[in-house]
Amino acid sequence: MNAFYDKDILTSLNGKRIVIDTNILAICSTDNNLITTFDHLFANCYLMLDPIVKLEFLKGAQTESLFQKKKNFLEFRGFYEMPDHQQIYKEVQENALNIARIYSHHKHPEIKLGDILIISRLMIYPNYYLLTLDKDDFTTMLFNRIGIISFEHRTLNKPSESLELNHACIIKFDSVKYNSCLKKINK
Amino acid sequence: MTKTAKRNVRKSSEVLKKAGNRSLEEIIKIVKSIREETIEQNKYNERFL
Repeated sequence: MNAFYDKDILTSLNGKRIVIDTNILAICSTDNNLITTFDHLFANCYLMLDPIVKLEFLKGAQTESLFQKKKNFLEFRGFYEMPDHQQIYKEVQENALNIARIYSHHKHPEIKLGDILIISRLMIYPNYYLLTLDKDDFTTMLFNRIGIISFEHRTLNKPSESLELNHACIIKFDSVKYNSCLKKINK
Repeated sequence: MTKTAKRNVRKSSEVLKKAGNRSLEEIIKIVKSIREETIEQNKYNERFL
């Protein structure tokens, strides 16, 4: 499985904590070559599981058997749980309202609740990164793009045909952009 | 110490908790199985839903 990326960017992420978005989990969980590639690429990083991402990932399972297998997948030794407790819920809720207001103010009210909650939790951890395929919701309005990793992937729809090319963005929440957006709303 | 400073100390000292201990080899077997079952699920959905 080929991956195309800037080595310096990956090196700069050594020891860093990277939250994985649901779309990345979804394709890694169905392509054994890809999970091997990801394990190699991010061997020196901490791949973090957000509770909302876990929920989004598991809710797609229509059978109990698939649900259990997906749960087992999340028990990979390379994944780490994001902290989850009462104080964080309160902070996430407070942040979520502002994030929703900012997106609506920028004519993007259709952003999914799950994405709002993921951003709201990322805000609490300014040193965390997000790895996602979603370029429409996690935009440079609130994030800085740190790097892009392109990789080939065997799709589910046409498994016998050629490999599909995906581009995963590594992004970081920017509190200055956030405060600037919030200020504009409050004017 | 202010409330925010206390919170930041807590965050920086939070111990990372592993999600599990399954090896890559175990995960690869699980992934192959998820792939097969998801393809079946998608076929079913295309046909009946």
